[in-house]
Amino acid sequence: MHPFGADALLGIGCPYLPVFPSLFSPEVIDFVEVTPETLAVAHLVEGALRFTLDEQRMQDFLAATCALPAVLHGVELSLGAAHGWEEGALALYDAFITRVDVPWLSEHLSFQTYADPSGARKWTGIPLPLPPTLEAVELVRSRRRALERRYRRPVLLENAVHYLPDLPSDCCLDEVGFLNAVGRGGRGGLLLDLFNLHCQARNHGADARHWLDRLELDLVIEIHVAGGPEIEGFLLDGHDGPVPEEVWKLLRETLPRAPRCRAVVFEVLDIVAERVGEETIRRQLRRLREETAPWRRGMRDDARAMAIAAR
Amino acid sequence: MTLERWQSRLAESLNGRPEPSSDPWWQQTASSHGLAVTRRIRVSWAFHRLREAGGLSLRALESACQEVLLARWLDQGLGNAPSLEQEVELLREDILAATRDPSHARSICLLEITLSRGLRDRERGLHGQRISAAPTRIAFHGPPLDILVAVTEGVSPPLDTTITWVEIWPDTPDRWSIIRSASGEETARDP
Repeated sequence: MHPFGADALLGIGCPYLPVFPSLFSPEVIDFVEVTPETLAVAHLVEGALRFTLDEQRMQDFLAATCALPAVLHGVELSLGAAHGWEEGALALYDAFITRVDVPWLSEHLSFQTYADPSGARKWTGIPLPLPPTLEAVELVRSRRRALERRYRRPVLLENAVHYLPDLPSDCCLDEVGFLNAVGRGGRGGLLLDLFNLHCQARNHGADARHWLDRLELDLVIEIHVAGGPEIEGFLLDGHDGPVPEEVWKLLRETLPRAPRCRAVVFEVLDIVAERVGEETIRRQLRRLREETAPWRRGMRDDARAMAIAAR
Repeated sequence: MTLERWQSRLAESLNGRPEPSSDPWWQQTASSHGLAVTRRIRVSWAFHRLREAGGLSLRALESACQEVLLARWLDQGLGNAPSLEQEVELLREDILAATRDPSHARSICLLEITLSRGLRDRERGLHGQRISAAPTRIAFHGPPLDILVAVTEGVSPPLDTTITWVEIWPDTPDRWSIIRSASGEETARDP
């Protein structure tokens, strides 16, 4: 069993930001979330995407984060693409995992590739949402099972944001029903991005609390909090600023109701980290530590009780 | 409609190629503010990728010229793939056509084109066939490294009257720092 197994409490973390290596110390965070695509160079080989880990970037990552456990957060797999996912991303995760042990992997509930009318593989340019349909549920569940078999680790699925009108759905499924359906079964569950949920609710005139009441929170293994700008009437999942008070409040309300949650991340994108600034990120991480203190204490007590019971 | 078909149609709509439909959802989506916002986000991401792919050559151009090129590339629907490797040579040829002669932008663009072609040929194992080929010479109007550093920092130094050659040998494209001043005869022959 991995020393930081899926049942272990990881605590609070943030994405690997190479511009601020001093963040990655146990005094600041408990674990790091790493996106292997940011440590690799992408090539197109006969129209297919291939990634090569950049040795210098890998060495910098290992040196900066050696004192912390890591979880893998993929971005280029195109998990929900009906015509086929990105095999190159899988090869990259294979290579990464041989060098860095991770208790779980997480992916986004979206698609970035598609087959155009001539059947050629194309890129959408940005992640697009999956409709809450039975076909999409079945596709995601089968892909998740395949990933869990391949990596012998739990796989978590992250809720997305979109700005389109309400997506076509099958009877009895909606945004929350879709998350519950794809999160069930298997070893993993959901990565609940509370800022994404907040954006979705705001942008589509819904109530985030009402959604949380219907979401099966025992499926949640990891939570993200983040911030983003409001542009042209939409709250964007920019992940480029401080967490809004409404999202901190959602975190306080969600954590005690998510019994399997093991990790909470303040998410900021590496490409905007310098603009956000190290001091802002440190302040957000201090706040995250304060906000999650009761949960962390409770989890440790639970772990101790389980250890005593097992003995 | 299958999920695959739905995804293809949505992505094509986003890229400005909507398919006419009598379905209310597609009609509503095609004219929605949300699709327009999604399209603008896609364009901003593509813009970022294209600017990265354009490299130092693009940065060496005047900003107005950069904007014209980027707008043209975006109109062509470029910039969606995570890697623009296949488009890079095309982009650099486009940049080269937009440069003045002589200019630092032209020198830098020729340097990047020659280096990437050399590295690509070497990866494909072609260098052995051209081992005796002459080097490519690129004229810089001033000290090449100073010019490259200045452009990286967003500065365009004045053109120097003294020409310095950068020589790139086909079998060692990564060892391009072979720099020498052009002789009077060379400058007269190839100003």
